[in-house]
Amino acid sequence: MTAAPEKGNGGGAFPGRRAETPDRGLCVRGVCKSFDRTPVLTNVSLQVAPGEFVCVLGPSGCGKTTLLRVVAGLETPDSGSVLIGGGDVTRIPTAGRGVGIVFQSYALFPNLTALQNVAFGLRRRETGASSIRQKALELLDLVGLAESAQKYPGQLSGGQQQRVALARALAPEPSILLLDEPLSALDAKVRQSLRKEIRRLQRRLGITAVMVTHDQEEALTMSDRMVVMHKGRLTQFASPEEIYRLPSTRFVADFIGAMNFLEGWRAEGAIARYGGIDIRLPAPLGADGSVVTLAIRPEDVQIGRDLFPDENAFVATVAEMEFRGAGYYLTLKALTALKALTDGGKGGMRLEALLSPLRASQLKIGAGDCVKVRLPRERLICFAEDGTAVGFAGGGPE
Amino acid sequence: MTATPARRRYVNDKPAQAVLLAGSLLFMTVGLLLPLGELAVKCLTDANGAYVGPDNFIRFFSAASLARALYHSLYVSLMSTLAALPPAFLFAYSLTRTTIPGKAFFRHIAMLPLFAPTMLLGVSLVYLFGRKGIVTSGLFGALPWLGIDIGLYGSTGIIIAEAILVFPPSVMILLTALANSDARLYEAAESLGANKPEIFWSVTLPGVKYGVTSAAFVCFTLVFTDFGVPKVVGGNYGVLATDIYKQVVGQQNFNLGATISVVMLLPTLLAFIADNWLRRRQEGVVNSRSIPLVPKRNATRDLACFAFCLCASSVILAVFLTALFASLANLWPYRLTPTLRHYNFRDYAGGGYLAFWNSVRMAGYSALLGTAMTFGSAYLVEKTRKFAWARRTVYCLSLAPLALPGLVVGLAYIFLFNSAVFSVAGREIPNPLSRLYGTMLLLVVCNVVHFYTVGFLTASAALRQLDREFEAAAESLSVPFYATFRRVTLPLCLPAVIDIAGYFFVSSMATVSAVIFLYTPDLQLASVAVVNMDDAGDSAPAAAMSILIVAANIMAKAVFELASRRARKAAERWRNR
Repeated sequence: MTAAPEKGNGGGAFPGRRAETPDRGLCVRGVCKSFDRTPVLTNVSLQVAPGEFVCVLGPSGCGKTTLLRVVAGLETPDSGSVLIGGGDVTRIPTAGRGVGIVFQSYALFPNLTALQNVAFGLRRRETGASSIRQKALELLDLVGLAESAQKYPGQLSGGQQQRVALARALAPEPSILLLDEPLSALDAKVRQSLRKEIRRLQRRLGITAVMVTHDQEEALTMSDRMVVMHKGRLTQFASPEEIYRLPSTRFVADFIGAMNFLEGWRAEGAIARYGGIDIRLPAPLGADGSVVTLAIRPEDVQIGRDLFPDENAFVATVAEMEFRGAGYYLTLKALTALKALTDGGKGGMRLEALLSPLRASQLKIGAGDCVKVRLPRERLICFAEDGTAVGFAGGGPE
Repeated sequence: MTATPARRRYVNDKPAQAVLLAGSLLFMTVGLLLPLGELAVKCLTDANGAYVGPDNFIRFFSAASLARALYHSLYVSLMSTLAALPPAFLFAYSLTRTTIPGKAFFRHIAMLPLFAPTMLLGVSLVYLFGRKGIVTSGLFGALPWLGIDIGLYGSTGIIIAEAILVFPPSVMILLTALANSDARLYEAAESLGANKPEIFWSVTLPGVKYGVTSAAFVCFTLVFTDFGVPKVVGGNYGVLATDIYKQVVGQQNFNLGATISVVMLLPTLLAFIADNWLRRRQEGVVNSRSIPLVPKRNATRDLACFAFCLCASSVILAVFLTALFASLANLWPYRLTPTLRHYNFRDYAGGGYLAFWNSVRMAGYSALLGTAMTFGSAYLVEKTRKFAWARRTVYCLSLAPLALPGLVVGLAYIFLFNSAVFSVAGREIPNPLSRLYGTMLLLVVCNVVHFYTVGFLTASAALRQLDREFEAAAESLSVPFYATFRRVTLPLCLPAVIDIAGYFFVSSMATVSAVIFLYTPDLQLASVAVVNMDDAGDSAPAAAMSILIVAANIMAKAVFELASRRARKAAERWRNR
């Protein structure tokens, strides 16, 4: 999988013509798009490798669906270009792009049977009614609905309809598959199974796929790599693990999963100071004396009864304890020197920790208890005042 | 990874869509904009084509008879609206909010006046309340105590006939308004302890406020622009519509006719704009989560409502049966033995059966062209993505005809299509459009434009109910738009398409106002024949021809209804196991 976009090795050298370059898959270059002078996409670039599954994640109104529609050719970008399979398709209408689209609403034709729906895009491409029928049946079989071939969409469940829609999109052998929130209209259980099914089919056919979703769990579990978008810009493009572990901005950190933000720390080399507590950071920060925000996931916060033999530990009281099925959420209030130094700010340092039921019973913790808290150095993330991550050992994202 | 090429063989939709949109724009330009432009020119010039500014309007308002006609028009429009609305509301209320039997029957009877040329109502009233009318003569002297002369000719007759005429459209609008109810509001009101009248004033009426105002505007406009009724029962009571006819057909004063039609257009436009403005404010009262109200049984109320519906239906039926009776009576009122001799139009003006079949043909062609134009245009506006400005223009032009009275359309057409030359900046250029004058095509185009908006809005509403992504899905499958249209869009909208065709047929068959200026001796029409025979004093054959028109419309409607029902049944097959 290629990591660095923006190399542009000649994929668009022959506009309107299929260029023979190794640059297959999908390439979006500097796309801008506004509606009624409101920018919806601002300089979005990304490169999806052949056979890769990429999820585009973001809050509603972030431009993710517009990005998908630009790739599909349903919207024309104001500037920038789209390359599919190495050929520039920016000026080519949807019909000529060879994209399969699966919609949130399924968009199955209600007056045609499942079989006719799947065969809808096969009319012109192949000759002979029997071979079209054969191919459509094969595709329905592929999604496990061969026995429902003669049913109308209105007679199928939501999950079945979306599988027919998937088969229909795949029927003309598109070079990329675009999925626009395909699972959000379905029940939780159906969604789970369809996630796996979509991935299984995509791997089996080796097709490049881009899926838009607002469900972070979906993006984290399905993607090879995922894109996080915010206000029309591409904020981070990386593997799900990297996005979760090393969010490039405060927005990403906050948007994906739960995160503690500890404000107002003064950086000095690889140490951050706040009210007498010294926290060692994974790597030295560039500018000494600058104010940073420390961030750590609740599940990374360690809780103990005794003083840890290690650095980055301090004492806190358990203000609240909430049972959440898979574990306990503790709301902790840091004590000691911190309390003295809360100069009218945020009322002391609060943070949340996730404790497994086993560990909770071992520690016998309840609300009001005094506990030792440790923030493991390698799990800490620092954000500068402008919200970008700083001081990663491996270098931050762009 | 297979080396699938990114490109695929495809048909570019853009050129074909551009051509179709251009065709739609051209149709509206020739059929709507150019005629209206000619009308504007005519009302600002004199008979020689010299520019006279507002002179024509000054002449209009200083001529006492013409200014009085404006007042008369406003008066009868207002009175007919006030007379029609309360019974229409009660009728619609009975059909939606009570449990009376025979709702379908009542609904069909209420729609009957739509099938008739408006003159029929006048002719029938003459037979009931005229000098030798059934009521006036006390059932031909049998019941002398009944013999009252209500002074039919003049405003009284116009108001009675128009009130019956505008009954069906008001009932239709109010039915829709009353059907869109939210049961939760009524439950909330009841749980708060409101009694029946309180609920009616605080929940029912506010919920249909827009429907009532909309019905009022429609009534007013219809009466204000109607020609058939005042022509027959108006007597010396001149209104704008009959004055236009008199100026143009009687005195050949086209410029004054144009001026009067512009005067007539103004209140109509105002009503149209006000209605649209109110409609926009009314949106969103009922949403998808609303629970429709199911009427509960209430013996007293239901009995009263049933009696009322029976009365209202009897009045409408009586009007039609009177016309039928009169058309069959040998020599009214002396010899009432049945005869078919009035149905043998040979001895009367108007063209007889030739005119009737011309009308049927015209209605058929109008249904074909009208459905194709309105549904096609609505499809281009709603379902294609390119050429946003052109689609917006088509949309705006499609709404305009609703504000145009038939007389204005017809007059504008004769100005544009009957002049051999255009004079542009002092120079005369031959008018290629004048070749259309006197052809069936021009009559059909005139009807299509006249009734355009209702067809267009019906098509738009049907198309908007389809998933917005159908077209995108088909495009991504490299299926050209016309194939998707044929295989998906059209079959799904078939019931609406049939309804539109039925509407165009029935309206074109019955209309007189637009076509009365456009028919020629070689191409006579049934509805015009009614006017001409009535003018010549031949009331019985006029009634007979009206009855033929109604019969043709009822038969056509039955066929369309049957087809529509079959189409809806097919749609059900897609939904049920």
